Amino acid sequence: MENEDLNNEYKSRNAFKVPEDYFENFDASVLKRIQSQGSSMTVWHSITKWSIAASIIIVAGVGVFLYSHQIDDSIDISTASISDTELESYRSAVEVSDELFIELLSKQAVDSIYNAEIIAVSNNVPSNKEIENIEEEYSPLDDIEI
Amino acid sequence: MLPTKTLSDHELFNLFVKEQKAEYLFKEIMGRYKQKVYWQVRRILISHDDADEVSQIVFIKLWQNAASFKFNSALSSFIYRIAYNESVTFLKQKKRFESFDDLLDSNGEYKTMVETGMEMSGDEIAAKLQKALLILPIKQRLVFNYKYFDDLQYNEISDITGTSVGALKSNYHLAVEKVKKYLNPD
Repeated sequence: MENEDLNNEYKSRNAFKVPEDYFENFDASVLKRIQSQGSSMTVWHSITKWSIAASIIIVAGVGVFLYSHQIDDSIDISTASISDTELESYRSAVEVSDELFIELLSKQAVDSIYNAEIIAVSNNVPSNKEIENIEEEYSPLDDIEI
Repeated sequence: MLPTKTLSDHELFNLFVKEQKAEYLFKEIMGRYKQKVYWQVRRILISHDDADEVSQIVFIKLWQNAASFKFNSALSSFIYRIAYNESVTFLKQKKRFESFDDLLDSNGEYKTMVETGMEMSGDEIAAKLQKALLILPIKQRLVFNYKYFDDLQYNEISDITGTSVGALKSNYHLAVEKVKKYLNPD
């Protein structure tokens, strides 16, 4: 074949120098590099694992936050089935601002509180006679020295 | 540990993949191919340090890409293809060539190595052939190495390099003619 055109004596000769025991130590060198790459991969995998876990927690947290705010927006519907007594006891157990508490109360409860306040106020309104008596007891002119 | 010496390449590599890359099996694979890989790479890169680095990378890549081996081709072709790709990548990284039509030794670095004997065994006849190979463009030099030194068939070289058999035959013929002319100028 073509090789026969060229002197085959070159083939069996070794042109290059190789360090002593090079091939004996070759396997160990390769395996050492594979192991060191494997351990760095393990570290990278654990970093990735923790990053994924942290991402899941953050996403879940944001999801819960957004979901709870969605519930606040639709609170009229969700609290419709909760009695005012239950809301009162909830308020006593949990710190809730007045504004939020009013929001939580049903319209009916707000009306009943409002009516009760009106009744109380109208009960305390003095009659004309009582006003006259007060005016007699206390005249602003008494304080004025002429 | 299973006896591995009597296993064929495919049986050995299949076991290596199934046994979750057991080291003793990989040592057997390296035992079969490390010298062949090293010499293929060394004849391309000339320098021992470069050849050592690339040869190690070849087996690291073999370990990492074991699952991608398709058992419809020879394991030797798979390994030699990694060796070829890594050698070419290394040469490109070192900016030793831009095209396969270039000479490997455009700046004379390898000629200096061969002539000063820094990397050489001291065998003058073998060194003379290496000097002759330095005058070849890279594609001719590669096919010459695979055909002359490794006794590979054209279809195997085609698998490794991705070059057509026709082009390989043509390049080998040109390489042999140039080398003969260099060795026997009269």
